[in-house]
Amino acid sequence: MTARILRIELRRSTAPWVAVLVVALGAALFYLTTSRDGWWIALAVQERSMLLLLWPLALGAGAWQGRRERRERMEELISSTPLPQWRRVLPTAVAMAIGAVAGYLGTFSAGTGRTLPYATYFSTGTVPVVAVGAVSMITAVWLGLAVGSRYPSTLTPTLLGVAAVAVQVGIRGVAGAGDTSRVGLLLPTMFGGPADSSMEFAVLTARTNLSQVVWLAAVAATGFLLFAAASRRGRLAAILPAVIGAAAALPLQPGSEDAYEPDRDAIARVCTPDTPLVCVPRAHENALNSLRGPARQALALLSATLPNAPTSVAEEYRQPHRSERQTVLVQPLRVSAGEFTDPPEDILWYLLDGAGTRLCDALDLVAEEQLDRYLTARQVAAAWLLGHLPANPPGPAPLSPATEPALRTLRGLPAGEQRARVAALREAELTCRPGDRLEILTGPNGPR
Amino acid sequence: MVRAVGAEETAPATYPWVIQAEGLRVRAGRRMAVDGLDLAVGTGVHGVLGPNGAGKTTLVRSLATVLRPADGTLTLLGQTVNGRLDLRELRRQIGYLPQEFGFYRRFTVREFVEYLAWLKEMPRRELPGAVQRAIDRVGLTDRADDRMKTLSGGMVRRAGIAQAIVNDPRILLLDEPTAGLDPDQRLDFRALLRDLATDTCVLVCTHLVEDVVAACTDVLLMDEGRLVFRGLPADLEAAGGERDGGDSPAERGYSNILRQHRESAR
Amino acid sequence: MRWLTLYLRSRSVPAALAAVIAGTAALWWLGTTIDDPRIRDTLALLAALTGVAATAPGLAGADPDLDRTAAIAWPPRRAMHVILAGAIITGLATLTHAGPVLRDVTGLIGLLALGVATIGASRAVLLPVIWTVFALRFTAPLGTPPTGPGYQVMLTWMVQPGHTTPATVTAVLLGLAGTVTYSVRGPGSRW
Repeated sequence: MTARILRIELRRSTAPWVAVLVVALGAALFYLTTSRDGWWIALAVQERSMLLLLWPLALGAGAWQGRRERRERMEELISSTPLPQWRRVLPTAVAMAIGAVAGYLGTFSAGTGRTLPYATYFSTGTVPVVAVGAVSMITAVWLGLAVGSRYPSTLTPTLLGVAAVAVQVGIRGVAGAGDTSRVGLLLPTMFGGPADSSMEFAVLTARTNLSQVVWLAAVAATGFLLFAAASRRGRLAAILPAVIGAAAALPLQPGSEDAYEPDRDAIARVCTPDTPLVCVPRAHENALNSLRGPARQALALLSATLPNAPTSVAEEYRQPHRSERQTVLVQPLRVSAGEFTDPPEDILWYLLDGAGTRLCDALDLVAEEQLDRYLTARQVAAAWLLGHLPANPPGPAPLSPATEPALRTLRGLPAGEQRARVAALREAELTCRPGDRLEILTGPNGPR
Repeated sequence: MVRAVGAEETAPATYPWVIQAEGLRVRAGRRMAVDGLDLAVGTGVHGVLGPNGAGKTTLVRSLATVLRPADGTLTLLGQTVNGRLDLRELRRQIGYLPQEFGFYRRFTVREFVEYLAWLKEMPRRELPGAVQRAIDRVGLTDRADDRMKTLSGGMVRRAGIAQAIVNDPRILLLDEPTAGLDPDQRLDFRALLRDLATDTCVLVCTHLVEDVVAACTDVLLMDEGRLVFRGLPADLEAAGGERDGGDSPAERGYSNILRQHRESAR
Repeated sequence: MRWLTLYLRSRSVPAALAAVIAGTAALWWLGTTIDDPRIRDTLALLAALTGVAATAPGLAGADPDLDRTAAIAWPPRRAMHVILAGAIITGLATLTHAGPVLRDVTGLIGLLALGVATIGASRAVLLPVIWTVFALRFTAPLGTPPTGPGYQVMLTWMVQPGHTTPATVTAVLLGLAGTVTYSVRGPGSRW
């Protein structure tokens, strides 16, 4: 293959059109759908899910190009020339691959407009997600070339594209949405994946990426060999890479549970340089500033009333959630476009819940009444610190009807007693000591 | 089993004929379009005449190694064309303009000729020069960088000739090359043929008897898959009588030979 | 009758019909394996698209310029071709799928006819295909169709629920525009 011929094919084949079509469709899809922006990994995963449509488009474009010799009536002339078939089709295949990959990367760049302004953290896991998607585009065009040249009907490109959409939709429909079955993970679209709420904290495991790339590259090889095969025997042999690829990829495929793992760098804490210390997971660094206000308020309210009040605030993704004496921990919040989607007053409420403590999973409350009293006590403490009871507070549970009378009972006590009781609740929650929490706040005996 | 060693296998590298066919039979679909043809031609321009369906195109396609002979022997450049022969070396020395000439519509003339030169495995270094020379020879120099789809019918034909001669073939097969050419271009084309005749074996299929008389060193007349006449253009003109149909001596000769052949066959 | 048979053969309608039947049957089979009714709607749209795509080659003869020189009155025959093709596809797709098939076929075939009249039969199929591919983003399993503002509803007309008036209006307008443009102008030349 000479560079000159490749240049001709890059300009005159369907290759530039694949790139343009993919970017146009991809960009339209990016900008007409709402999503949580601000992470490169989120952009990469979103583009992979769009492959449900981009992949069939590339497949159809490949088939369109594959029909060329028949459409332009070049078969007669070509069959009188000496160049072996595989060398003849190589520039076409390479040009189409370049066009498809350029389209895929171009779509990614088109999405940067929604990511770049907010992205402060780059997960290295982004690179394989994009790379595997790009490989899948090569698979698509090469398969298309093979089918289009073998069945050069005008209907082939469309029928092939529709079939590709239908098969993917069908597999998704049969497997159930969100299910990461082994077969689903072999599709370029990467069905399943982490819940939308935590996508910025997750990366695909190396095994997942590896099995996907092995499979997609093997199918791409089959597509190219089918396109390049000059005889029936050659076409039969071309099936081999796909079979070997499936045999290698399926055992490698980790299955739905282990397809993803937490991104250690993304969940590591980053903090403000000044005091009070406010920390977020690195993936949420772009929203750190919008946490400062509620954090300062919460710390001020806590230190104004409680002894040994905490001095810092942290949004914590890591499990398990254990309360810390010096730091108010809050569960991961929803961030989009570099801001928390919760309003500051909601964040303040989260921080004050249970007087600045996390829920005690260790208490293992199963009875509904017990759990209700537990959550009510935490809400009462928050409302007492805040000075009023919000009409419709956010948080783990809706406002219990018992909260308001309990708060009134607490307020009826002498001021010192109120403080002591809230401090006792906080102490109980920090240590996750068993016992009824509402009793601590409002019981006749007070804290024991 | 002892195999007889054919003469062509022991023949020296210098071969007596560029194209040699003995009892050649070639199928076109279900019909035996070339049916027992004997032919031996060397360098020069050979005009192949014949009525529609005489088997001209099928003959040319088999000479272009597109179709494989069903029977008989076909020897091109001293090599026998059969299932065992690696056609690659042979095809490098063939230039072919098909009757139904397809082309990549989005390519420019230069790109198209270059692409075909690449398909014919020309050495990379000679490629740009050879492409320019071929385009110059068919008079498309000023349209070299225009898309193929913008060309008129005659220009497309000339681009087809350009791709056929780009590799300086030893065997040049032109199936109706003058279709769509205007009178001036046909004169240029005849000059090109005469120019090529010195070192190339050119086979021109055509219905234009005038072209054959004007530019060919040799006339071949086919009917029903066989060669029915072979001679100099002057022989063709001499063969016609006053009562044969046609407006020129050559046309009269053409009709007379065909008529006589058909009568004797009956 | 003879004229009709020759016409249908010249436009390779039998092959297209076979492709449509095979495609619709395959999508119907796929539909039987899926419980989610929203995904079955997506398959119905794909069945309509398959049928419309298969109509594309038949809307232009081997040589549009030659057809144009014919003495017969083309406009009513062209309109008839589009309408009958739409009816057959609708019939086939309705047999196998639920959903607003008639609307989808009307709009898509109008879009196709519009494309044949403007960019030629070989590329015309790009119009319905690319629009549908774009709109599929808003249907199961990828998402849900937008309910407003109006222009977004019209942009995604083929994936809207059947009773959505703006979507139906868009489809009817496309169907009318396509059929009229195509029957008046005929297939565009290859470029």
